[in-house]
Amino acid sequence: MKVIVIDDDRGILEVVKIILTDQGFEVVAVSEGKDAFESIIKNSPDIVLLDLWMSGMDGREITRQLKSQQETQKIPVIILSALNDVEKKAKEAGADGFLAKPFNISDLLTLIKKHSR
Amino acid sequence: MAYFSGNLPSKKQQTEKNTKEIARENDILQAIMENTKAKLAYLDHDFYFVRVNLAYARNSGYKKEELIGRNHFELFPNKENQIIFEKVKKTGKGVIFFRKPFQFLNQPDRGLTYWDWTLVPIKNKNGRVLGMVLSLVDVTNDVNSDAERERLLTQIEMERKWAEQLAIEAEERASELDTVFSALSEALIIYNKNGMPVSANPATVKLFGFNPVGRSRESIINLSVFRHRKGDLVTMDEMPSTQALQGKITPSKYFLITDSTGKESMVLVSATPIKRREKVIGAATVMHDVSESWLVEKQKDDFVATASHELKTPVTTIKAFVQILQRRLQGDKNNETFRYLEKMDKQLDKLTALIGDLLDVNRFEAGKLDLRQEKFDFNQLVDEIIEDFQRSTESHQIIKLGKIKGNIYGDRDRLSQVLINLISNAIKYSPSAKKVVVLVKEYKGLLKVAVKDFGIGISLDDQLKLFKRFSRIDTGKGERFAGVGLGLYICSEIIKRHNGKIWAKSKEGKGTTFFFTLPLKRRRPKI
Repeated sequence: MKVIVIDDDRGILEVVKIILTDQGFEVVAVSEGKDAFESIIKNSPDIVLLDLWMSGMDGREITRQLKSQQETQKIPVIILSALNDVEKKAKEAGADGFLAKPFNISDLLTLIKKHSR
Repeated sequence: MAYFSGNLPSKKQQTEKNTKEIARENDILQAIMENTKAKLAYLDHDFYFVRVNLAYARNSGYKKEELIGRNHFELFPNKENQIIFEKVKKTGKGVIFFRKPFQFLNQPDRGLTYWDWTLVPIKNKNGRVLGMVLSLVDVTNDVNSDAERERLLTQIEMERKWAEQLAIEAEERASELDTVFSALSEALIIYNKNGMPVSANPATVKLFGFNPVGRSRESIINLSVFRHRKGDLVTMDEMPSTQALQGKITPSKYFLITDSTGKESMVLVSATPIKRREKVIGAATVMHDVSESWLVEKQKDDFVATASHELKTPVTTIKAFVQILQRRLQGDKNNETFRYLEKMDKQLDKLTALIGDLLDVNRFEAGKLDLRQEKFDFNQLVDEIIEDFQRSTESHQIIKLGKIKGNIYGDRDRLSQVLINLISNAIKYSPSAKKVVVLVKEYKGLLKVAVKDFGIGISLDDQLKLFKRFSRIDTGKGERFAGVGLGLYICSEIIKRHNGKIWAKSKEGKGTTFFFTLPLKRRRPKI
């Protein structure tokens, strides 16, 4: 199971990587929104965990891009955000799931399980 | 006798001739009397009617025969005239009057009449007054028409002066108004009853980038695009001027205007009907440019949103690490370290809730809280919340009484926030109690919820400010309960936005019950 985590906060990247590595997942951490698309194409992950509000790039835009291209549109995208109205924003962007920060590890794992291929 | 009979007319002849002459003169006199417009009467020296002409009789309201032999002042009593008549009789000098008023007591309908009249004494050779001739000419119409003309002239003059005064005042007002109109920083448009702008002040031209006078309202909202704060276009019906032209006053609305150059302004628009004698003859629209304060407000909103996001980010990391450590300890609840981590986790939840509250308050104030209208099982929600509480609360038992059937419409997350807030308050403010009661029931088409604690209670003073922002309850015993005083304010805003009511009953030392009601919407409401 390969998970790509995209977040511009390095603390979050680190902690999510620990959580998922503990589960035996392969984790690719991306800290720059602009590198997200390229990394996803390159790694072909089973699921993408994506922050919304990043410097330089909006998570919604990345989601739209992923969902509009044939080779990436089937990859489940889960939005992880500390913004308010995450649900609404995630739905608008066309993401498959969402989780508000701060989150419980158990909720994150349930969500990944539910959406991974 | 013969001496007389041939040359001189006999006495008899003389008498006959005289009689004939008198009769002829009498006829002439009669003819004159009857053919003059004057009302003529011959009175004897005691003012008894001897002879009257027809005009006199008609005018007097009596028949000729009714007048003859009657006393003038018996029929037409008038003190002043009687004195005049007596004087004429005494002095033997006639009198003449012009436009002398007289009121016929026997003909009250005629009102006040006016007369040119003469009273001429008839005297014998010795100068003794034998009687008098009264001659009357009715000049009532002349007097009245004169009076009327005079009255009219006076009135016209008064009105002219009044109109002149009004014109001066109107000019002054107009000039004042013009100054205000031009100097007003608010944009002001006056519409005629057909909704066409008839005047607009310079502030309007500045705001729109063009002069709206002569353009239709449709073209105005097309030329400078009117939008709601959320971005959707404003329709004609939503324009306050539309309501005003129908005689209605609507609350002020915020619109975002983009002029032809792309410049954006936030305006507060209000409109008032202009009425004359209860009829709408136009409307006035005032647009107050609030762009600056709106920008400040927006910056504040952005700041709060950013701050809340930035505060939540490190909390996310800390919370995740806490949970990683807990997992590493394999969930051994007896392990001291595990329990400390559990406490840390709970405190982090509180911190998260507080950050959320601050963000919520800001959104309430900005009127930006959008509630969802979703169908959900309220009963199940209450059960879930109680279950969650019970998992982490050992001190209190939370007892649920009653239930409601079926689903309701509302914002599940927000209503859940209210319940969590009320139950956690109940626990917090009843440290030595063992239970909290949650009552759910349907009552007269309302969903009624009560959360009852058996704690310290709230003083009357504090009850009044419970739902106000930043209000905190003091126990009076120097005890302090944590919180920034936003929880109940947020609850009340959420309930109000659901068209519900929230209140509390409390007795110090006995406990407090919070109630709220919501209209039971079983169907999706139209918004």
